[in-house]
Amino acid sequence: MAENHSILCVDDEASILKMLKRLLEGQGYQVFTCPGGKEALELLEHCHVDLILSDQRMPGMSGSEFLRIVKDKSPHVVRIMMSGYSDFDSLVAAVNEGEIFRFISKPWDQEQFLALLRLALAQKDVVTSIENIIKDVCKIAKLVDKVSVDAPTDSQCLRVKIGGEEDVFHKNTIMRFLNTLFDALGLQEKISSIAGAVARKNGIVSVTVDIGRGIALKIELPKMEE
Amino acid sequence: MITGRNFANLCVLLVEDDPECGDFFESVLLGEGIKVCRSRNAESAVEILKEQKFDIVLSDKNLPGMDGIALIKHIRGNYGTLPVVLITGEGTVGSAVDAFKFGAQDFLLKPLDDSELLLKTVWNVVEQRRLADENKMLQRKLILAERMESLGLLATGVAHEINNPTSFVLGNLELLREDMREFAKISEGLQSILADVMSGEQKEVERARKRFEELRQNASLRRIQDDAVQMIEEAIDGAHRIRRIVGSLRGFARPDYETMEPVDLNEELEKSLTLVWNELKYKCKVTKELQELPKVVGNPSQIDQVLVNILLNAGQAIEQKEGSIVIKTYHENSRVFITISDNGKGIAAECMKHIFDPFFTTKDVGSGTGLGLYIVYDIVKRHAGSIDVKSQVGEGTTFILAFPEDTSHG
Repeated sequence: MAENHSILCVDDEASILKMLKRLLEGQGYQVFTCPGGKEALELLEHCHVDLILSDQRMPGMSGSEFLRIVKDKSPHVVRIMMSGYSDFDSLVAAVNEGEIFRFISKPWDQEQFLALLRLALAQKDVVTSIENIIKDVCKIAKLVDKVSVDAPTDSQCLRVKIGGEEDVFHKNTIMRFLNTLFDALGLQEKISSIAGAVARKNGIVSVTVDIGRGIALKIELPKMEE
Repeated sequence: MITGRNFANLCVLLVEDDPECGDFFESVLLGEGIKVCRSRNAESAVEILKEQKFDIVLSDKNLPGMDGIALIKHIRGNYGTLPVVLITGEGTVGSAVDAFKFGAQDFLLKPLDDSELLLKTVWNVVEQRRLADENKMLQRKLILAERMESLGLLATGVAHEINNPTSFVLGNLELLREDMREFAKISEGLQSILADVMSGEQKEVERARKRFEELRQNASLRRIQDDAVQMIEEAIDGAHRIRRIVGSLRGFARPDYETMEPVDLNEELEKSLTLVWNELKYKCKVTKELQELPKVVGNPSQIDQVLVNILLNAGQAIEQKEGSIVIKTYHENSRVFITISDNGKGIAAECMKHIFDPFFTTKDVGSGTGLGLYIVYDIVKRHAGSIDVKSQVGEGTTFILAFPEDTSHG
C-alpha cells in the first residue's frame, strides 16, 4: 500500500517527536514535527497534511485548543490526540472542543497505534473519494450550486444536502440525480433497501445508505413536486 | 466515688518516707481502684522505675539520700514526660515555684488530709498528659493527611511525567528490536557477498556488487549506523527520568513519622521540584541558584512536604504569562537558608497574619483545605527552623526558610 500520506506530530517533548518521526517515516509516511500549537498552525499555512497527532498538555496553546482551530480551518484533516495526562476533564475538552477522531493514551501499543493510523487514513481516503464522486455527479447534473457535501473525517457519515429552503425540484430530476449518483458509487443493489432508511425529521426527508467500510451516506432531499 | 473520672488502670509510684502521710495517700488512692507502688526513698524508686511503668509519680521533696528534686531531674532525663507531683511540707511560694522549675507538673502541701484535693491533682495531671499525647498524635496524622492531599494534586502531573518518557523508551526499543532482527539477515547477506567475491568469478563478483549496493540501502542497517546509539541514549535518559520521579514519589509518600537524619536540602529541593515539575513547567520559568550546603537534621519526607507546598503555592499564585520562580540556597552563621520567590499575585497585608492559620485559604471552596501552610509552619518548628514571608500584592511573594546546621557529626 502506498503510504504517501503526510502526518504532522505536535508535542513539547523532543524525544517523542524524534521517536514518532523514526517510526512513521519507517512506515513510509511523510512526517512533519512541531513543538507546539503555534508552530503547527504556521506550518499548516503552507503545508498540506492528512493527519495530525497532537499532545494535550503543552505550554502556550493546549492540544484541544489547537485541534479546535484546525477543525474550524481544515475539517478534512484527521485529528488524533495523544496524551500521558490522565485527567478526565482534559480528555472531555479534547473530544468535545477538538472533535477528534480518536484519543490515544501514552504509552501505546505500537501495533494498535499503527493500525489506528492506517484505519484513519483509509477512511479519510474513502470519504475524500466519495466526496469527489458526488461533486463530479453534481457537475454533470448541473446541480453544483444546489448540492452541499459535509464530509468530516471524525464521523462516519457524509451529509449531502440537496437544495435550499426555497428550492423545489421535480421528482424526476431528483430520481435521475440519485440514480446517477448511486451508479457512480457502485450502489445499484442498495436501492431496493433504501425504503427502510428513509426518515422525516423537522420537515426534511433524508435517505441514509450504508456505502461500506462503516461509512454512511445521508442524503437530505428538497421539496419535490410531481 | 467521684463520678465522671475514671481511675481504673492507673498506676502510681508513691515515694514518701513519712509513714503516716504515705499511708493516707495510699489508702485514698487504693480506694479509687488505683494501683499503688510505694517506696521510702528515691534510690529504690529509681530501681522500681526501671522495672515497671507508671502513669504518675508522687514524690516527697525531702527524702533521705537523694531528694525529690533530684528524682524529678532523673525522671525528666530518662522517662520523658512521665508526670510528677511534688509533695512538700514547706508552704512557701518559693518551693512551689521550685517544683515547676525542676519539672514537676503540680505540687501538694503537707500535712494533707483532703482526699479530694489529692485525687483532683492526680486526675488533672494524668488527664493533661493524656491530652498532650493525643494532641501530638493528631498533629502527626494531620501532617500525613495534608501530605496525601498534596499527593492527590500532583498525581496526574506525575503520571504524565512518567508516561511521556515511557512512550519513547518503548518506541525506540521496539524499533531497535526490528533492526536487530533484520541484522541477522544483513549478516547472512554479507557472508554470501564475501563468498561471491572470494570466488573470483566475474558473474559472482557482479552479483556481489549488486547485493552490496542493495544492502547499503537497507533501512535497518542505515538506522543502526546513523541513529541507533542516539536512540539508545534517549531511551536510557528516559528511563533515568522515570527512576528519578518514582524515587521522589516514594520518598514523599512514605508514611514515616519522626525519624530524623542528616539531610542535604539541595537534594530534597531537587526531589520536590521533580514532583511538582509538571504543575510548574507550563506556567513559569524556574531558576535555581544553589550553593553547596552543610547537612541539617531532619525528616526527609516532611521537608519534601514543606518544599512541595511552597512550590505549589508559588505556581498557583502565578496567573500571568512569563511567570518566574527563583530558588536560592545558601548558609551562614550555622544556619542553612532556602528562599523561594515567585512573581505572582502576592499576599494582601490583612491576610499576612493569617496565612499560617489552620483552614485559612483565599482559594475557592473545594480547592484545598487551607492546611498547607499550617503544616509547613508546624514541620519547620519541629525542625527547630524558622519561616518568614515577604510579599507585595501584584509583585510577588518570597518565602525564607532557615534550618540549623547538623553539628552532631564531625
